[in-house]
Amino acid sequence: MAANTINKNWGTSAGELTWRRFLSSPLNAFCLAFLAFLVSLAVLAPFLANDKPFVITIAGRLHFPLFRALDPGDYSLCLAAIVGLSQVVLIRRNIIRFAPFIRGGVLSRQLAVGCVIIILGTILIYALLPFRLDTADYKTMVASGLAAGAIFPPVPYGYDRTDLKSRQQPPSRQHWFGTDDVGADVLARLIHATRVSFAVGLVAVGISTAIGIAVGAGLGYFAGKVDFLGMRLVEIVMAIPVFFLVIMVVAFFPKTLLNIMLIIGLTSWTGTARLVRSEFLKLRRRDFVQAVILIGIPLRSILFRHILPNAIAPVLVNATFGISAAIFTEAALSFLGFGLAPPVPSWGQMLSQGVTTAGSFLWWLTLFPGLAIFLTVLTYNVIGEGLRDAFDPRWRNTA
Amino acid sequence: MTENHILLSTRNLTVGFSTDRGVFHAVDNVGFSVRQGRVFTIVGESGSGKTTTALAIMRLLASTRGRILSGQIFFEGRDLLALTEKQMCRIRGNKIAMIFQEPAAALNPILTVGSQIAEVITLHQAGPPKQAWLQAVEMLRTVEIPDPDKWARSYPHQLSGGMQQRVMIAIAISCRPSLLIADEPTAGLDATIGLTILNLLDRLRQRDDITVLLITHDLRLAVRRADDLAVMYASRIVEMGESRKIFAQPRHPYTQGLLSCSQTAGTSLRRIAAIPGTTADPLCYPTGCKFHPRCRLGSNDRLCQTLEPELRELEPDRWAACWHASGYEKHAS
Repeated sequence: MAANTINKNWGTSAGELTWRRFLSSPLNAFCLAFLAFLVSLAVLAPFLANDKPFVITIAGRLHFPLFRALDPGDYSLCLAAIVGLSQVVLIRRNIIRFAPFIRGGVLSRQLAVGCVIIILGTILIYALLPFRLDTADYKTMVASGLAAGAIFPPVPYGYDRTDLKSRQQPPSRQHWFGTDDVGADVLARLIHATRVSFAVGLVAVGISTAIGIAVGAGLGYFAGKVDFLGMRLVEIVMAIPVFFLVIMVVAFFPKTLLNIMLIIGLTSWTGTARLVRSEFLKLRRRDFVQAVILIGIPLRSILFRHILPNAIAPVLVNATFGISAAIFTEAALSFLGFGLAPPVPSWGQMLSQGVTTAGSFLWWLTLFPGLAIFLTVLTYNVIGEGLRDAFDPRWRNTA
Repeated sequence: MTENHILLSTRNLTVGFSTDRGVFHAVDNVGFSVRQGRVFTIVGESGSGKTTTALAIMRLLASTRGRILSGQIFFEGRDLLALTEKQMCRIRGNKIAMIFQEPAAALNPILTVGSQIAEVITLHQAGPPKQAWLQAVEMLRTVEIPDPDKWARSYPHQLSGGMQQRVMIAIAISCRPSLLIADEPTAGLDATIGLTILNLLDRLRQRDDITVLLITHDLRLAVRRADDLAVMYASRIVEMGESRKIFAQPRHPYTQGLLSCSQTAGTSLRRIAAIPGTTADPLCYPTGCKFHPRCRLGSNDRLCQTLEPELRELEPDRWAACWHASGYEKHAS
């Protein structure tokens, strides 16, 4: 691998070592690839499953209905994905080009520029792009000979298409994964639901990890009375049955994706907080922390530059498991009917449609979304395990 | 010896540790003066309170269970114990630096050596990170690390113990301190490497005019390096004075024992002289002189068994705490 030759002159950081150990397992590499596949599904969903063609010729003129019909959110997501990808490329290049001491500054500048591009781009897109409702049925136009030269996405159905003529159909040539109660294509909904699961996983865990680190760092570093009172607070939050709280809150507030993410995020930070606290309690007594305190390094730098990176391993592992837990919670909520309301697609909600009110069992509506949930959660768990092993190679032998 | 030459002094310093079995005094009534530009060494065996004294001076006992029960610590005329934590931080960063026993533990494992030095440099002078980095590399050259440009970019675990200690010295010197506390700087190092480290410290001390408070258990090393010496036993200073004089004529039986131990170790292969008995248990110190159960003079002496001798000046700049020391006035005030 090229990574072995990169830092001939410079030392290898703990992060790089961990990364190499992580990738040295084929299972981990495979799961990471699968995750990348899921990410691309989520980003490219409207290009993969859409009832609008990319290109169509109507009355001798070229039209691009798919691109016209994309909403600003889709464009913003694509922009974010492009910026994100370029960040990854740039970070890899930084490792080769910059000494470690300079790298941190370069990286933070890069991330800042990336964030600014995404935010400005999103604002611009939302401001400039008019909302268009395109109700034209391009397929009948093609079938009736009104239009020609149409290129449709691989799955030529939108996630919110309803077609009462083709309800509850088992998998077929037209609908690879069958159709649901209202005649929507299951595969199209499955692909679009990837977005929901990602959003829930990342945002909820992002919120909970941020709160957890802040609380845990404070409690662990200052210890003593602060820690005692804080931990009682954490225990109170831990005692709340999250799932029922979520159900209750969803009953009072609109069942939007944002609300669900917020509730999961705001209640699941206790685990991270406890982990970070215990690491900080342990690390603050270590000589190197005492040494930087002694030299007079500012508190912010002590906490987040010297201690936190040493405590990040369990946090990352916990976050990975947290993502799968959040996806699971969302699926469970939607399955019970407390989650996202149709037509917004969600795996759990599709799963619940497997058994109809009439009592018949539609196996394709159970199997495919179920498999999607299973594989995604499994992938995150394997990655979490892999990270844990990579962070501490000793565990690999004992486990 | 005039008052203004004294950089650091402690007076009646007592540090207590609270344990399950009660409070014990790890440092008991310790007073000494470190003069500007000299090397002051505290010698003692493990658990005699050397490191605790150093931590007390730095006011770093908060992370342990220890508390300063009484006494004063004067640094450049200011009582360190009366300062606020913020003022103390400024002193720690600028005036007093410390080198720890284990350099491997005192360096952050996830940051490069260079960036750890550079961070200290940026604390003391504003400037672009690039410049601080170059200065850090220069610092490594000062502490005689070969190929500093390369080693600045490596992580602590890639360095040998001696190099790690050199990096610690570089960090300490970067603060431009007037006092450097070196707590067993050679512990865990080869004898030869330890020697080169000490030589390096000596050169840097002379170059930057730094006063050194050296803490060690190795009396021979202490005698060779130190201008002034304090011997600690069981939380107390038992003998203090100019190291050459102590070496020539130790007054306290413990110092005599230590010196004979280290002298025979080098010359005779047949038998190493040792002080009989073991270190006193800090939670139940013997009554009277704490050294009397192991002492060849005092083990049968009523006075030694009942009354603890105080540290008294026998002659100018020559202190001891022993009833039998020549010149010790038994009935002084």
